[in-house]
Amino acid sequence: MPQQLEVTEYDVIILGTGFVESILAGALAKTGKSVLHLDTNEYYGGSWTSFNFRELLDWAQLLQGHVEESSGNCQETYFEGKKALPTNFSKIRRQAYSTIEYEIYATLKQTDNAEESEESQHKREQNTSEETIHHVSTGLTNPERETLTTLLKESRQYNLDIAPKIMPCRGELIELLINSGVGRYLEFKALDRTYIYSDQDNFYKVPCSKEDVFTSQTVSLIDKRKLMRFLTFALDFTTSPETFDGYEEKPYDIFLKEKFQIDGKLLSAVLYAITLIRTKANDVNTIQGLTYTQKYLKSLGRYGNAAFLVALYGAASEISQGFCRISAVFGGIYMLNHSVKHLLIDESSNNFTGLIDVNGQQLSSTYLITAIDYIPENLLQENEECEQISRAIVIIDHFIHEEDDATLTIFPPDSVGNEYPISVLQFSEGTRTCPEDKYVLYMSTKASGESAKEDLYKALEKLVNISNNDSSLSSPLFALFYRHKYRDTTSLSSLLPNNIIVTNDPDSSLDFEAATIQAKQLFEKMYPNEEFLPVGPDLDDDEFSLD
Amino acid sequence: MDYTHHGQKRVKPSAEIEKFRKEKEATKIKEYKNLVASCFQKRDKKEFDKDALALTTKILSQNPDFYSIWNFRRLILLEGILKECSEEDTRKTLSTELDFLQEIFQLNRKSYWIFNHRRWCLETMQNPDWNMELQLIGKFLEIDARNFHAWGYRRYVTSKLSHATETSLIQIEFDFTTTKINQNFSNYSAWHQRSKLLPLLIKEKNLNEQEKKKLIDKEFELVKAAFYTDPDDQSAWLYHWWLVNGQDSTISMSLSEKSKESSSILNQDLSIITSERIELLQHEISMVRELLELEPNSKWCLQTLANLLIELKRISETNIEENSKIDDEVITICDRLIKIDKFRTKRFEDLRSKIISAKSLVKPVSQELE
Repeated sequence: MPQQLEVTEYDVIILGTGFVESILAGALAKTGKSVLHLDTNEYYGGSWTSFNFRELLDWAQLLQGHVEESSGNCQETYFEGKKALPTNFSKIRRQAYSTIEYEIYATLKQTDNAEESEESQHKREQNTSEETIHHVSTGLTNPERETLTTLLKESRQYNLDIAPKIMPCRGELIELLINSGVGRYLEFKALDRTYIYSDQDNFYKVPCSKEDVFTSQTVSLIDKRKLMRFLTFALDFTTSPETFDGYEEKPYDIFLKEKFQIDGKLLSAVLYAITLIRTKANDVNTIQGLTYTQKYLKSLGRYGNAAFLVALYGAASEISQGFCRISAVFGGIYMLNHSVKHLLIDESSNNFTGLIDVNGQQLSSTYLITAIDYIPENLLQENEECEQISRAIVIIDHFIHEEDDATLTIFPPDSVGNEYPISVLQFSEGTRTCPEDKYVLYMSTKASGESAKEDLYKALEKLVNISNNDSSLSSPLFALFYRHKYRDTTSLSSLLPNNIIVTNDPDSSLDFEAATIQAKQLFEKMYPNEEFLPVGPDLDDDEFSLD
Repeated sequence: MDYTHHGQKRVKPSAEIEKFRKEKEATKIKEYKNLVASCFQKRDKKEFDKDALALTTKILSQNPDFYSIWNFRRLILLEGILKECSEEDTRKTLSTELDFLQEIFQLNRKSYWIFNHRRWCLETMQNPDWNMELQLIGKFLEIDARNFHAWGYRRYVTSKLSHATETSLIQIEFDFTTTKINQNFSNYSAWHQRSKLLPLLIKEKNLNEQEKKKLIDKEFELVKAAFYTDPDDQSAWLYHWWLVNGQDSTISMSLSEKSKESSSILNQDLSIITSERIELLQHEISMVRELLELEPNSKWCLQTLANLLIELKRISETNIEENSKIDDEVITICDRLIKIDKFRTKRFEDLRSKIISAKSLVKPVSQELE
């Protein structure tokens, strides 16, 4: 007998436990709204989740269409006088991903007792999703199989983010984590260093703070002065508008060249590694650029000499779960692995009234908040302009620059034939992303070529011994390339009922800022008179606090 | 430091909470006053016992800067608890003291009195563990690299440790200042420590002239990087001025009276030293001029340039024409500094008038000689 819910009417039903949906769940429950939070997946996080190695393989297989999924064969129909639109979660989600390719590499170390390992490998394979393993291991050479065996053996030590992001030490998300108390459920590490690739096959540490500028051996004295003068100005740029007068709408790089004589390598570092623009330089105007730079600079010095924090055990899914926990504490009801058959629309008012869940139960609410994957097909519209992001998750056996827990490496546009900047986050065991002797590279860039692999491969070659037999580089064990769409309101039909609130996919930025702002704005749109995750009474507050 | 309360709305506590808080505070104040009164009673009665010690512990845990209580505590230990105590027991008691001090350092890491009592304990006990002290103070400087109490205590500990183990810590300590300066060069204590160590390092390594020059050149490079990073940071400029004028003979760059003596002791040719010094000054003058081109309004830049020029004029017996050119430049610099550095206007006016009057004195004399 399937589980039936006792309460069938809610203020808000939320579909998907992605980052934005989860923040909203926490915020709404905290203001006393009744919340029902469902996810078709059996895990938290939606398209923001993190997987162990085995789950990642399953996921890749699923998106490639190698694994059969029960497709919602539902028809549009009528239910108690309401139009019942069928959802098709699996299909729509799969359409968001493309050019999925993965490779398993032969490890250099040869095992002496190959026979024994093959036997134990066989045993282990039986314990896992056999279909996946069968498919993956077909066509592999023995050494490659050995790598696969190692990865599967250590599978649970991996927390691999499918939309990896870091958070500025001063920004929307960090304040929200502090104010809401969700930060207490999480652990963080500082991002140790940023590197930038320059065309002569060199990586330079990017001087971000005053200390970095002072100690940097690669920055000339004159450049030290130029850079410091610019950074000092940018930190407080709004107080001297005369400096950027007339440049507001002009490209940021022009402003930097003309007003601060910043050029060449230094210009690249400022644009792509400090301002962290994800597009071409001339796509960002001076005001936008200064705002990003300032944000970065303000983040320095709060938690040591780092501008970003990395959440341990996979960022977005941990954060999402933290907010879901807040929601549950304030009465939110949670059901994972619980899909939705139909959304019910009242035809006369074109309002969402409720939904029919997998058990055929009707559940109704004033609002529906949903990830795009749950929206019925005829309420979506094909958007040719939709931005796409190429990503790669690469497991390697050795760190790429220095032995740090978390680093960021940037390839500026055109440095390895790339149209847009490529970012590479390297996480170690210290971030609880992977086992002790492994490192994970998360690569991403705005899509430009034919496939994710094409967009990222040349950058990967500079970091990892993937094809060029350069044994000084670290060796890869596994690489997964994929591309996903960034679907926002432009992907929605104008017929979408007003009380269906839609959350965006993970964007191409390195941080959660836009997503956090979206959560806040959606909340304020729904309930303009309520406060968004207000600071609660701090029970640990010392009455003699010096504050 | 705890920033988690920043950017949050201050919620005004309700009248009820406020009343409760005030009452609680009043009780605390009363308790504290009673403690102090009974402690002084004990002192007046010369009761140097365990109860007295416990009282001081209670008071100092709330107010570690109460020096009369510290003095009484030492008396209790010397005249009471430690009297006729075995060496082993003395050690135990003083170790407990050290633990107590470490605990109340949490309240204030810049308390003269805690440091004072700690020194007293260590000096009163046999074979104190100076290595542990060095580790402790390393932690202090990790928490706050600009805590000058900690820097002073570090000098004290290293001298004790180096004496006890008969090993030199000069190079290690010199490198330690490099680390701290690299982390944040706006640190007077670290630069000061460095200025104390550099001459000792040169002496200890018995460097020849060339090696010495190399080492000092590296110091000039270091401050130069600091100037280009932040020309407004005073600490690096002060170290620079010390490097230029290093009064210590081991640097032997200076031609002040003192170093004249020492250089004659070293039996060096005075004229070589003078020419080297002129070269140094000229080198630094051109360095500052370059920076000034980028930062025409940097007051430290201008001030240093003026100082270098005045020093150059003083030691080089250049011709009158040269001197007069230098004077004119210094006067121009003074004029600019008067405008830039409003708080020190009078000081630069004074310097300018001195130069002008000296100039007017020189001229007639030289004309007479002609």
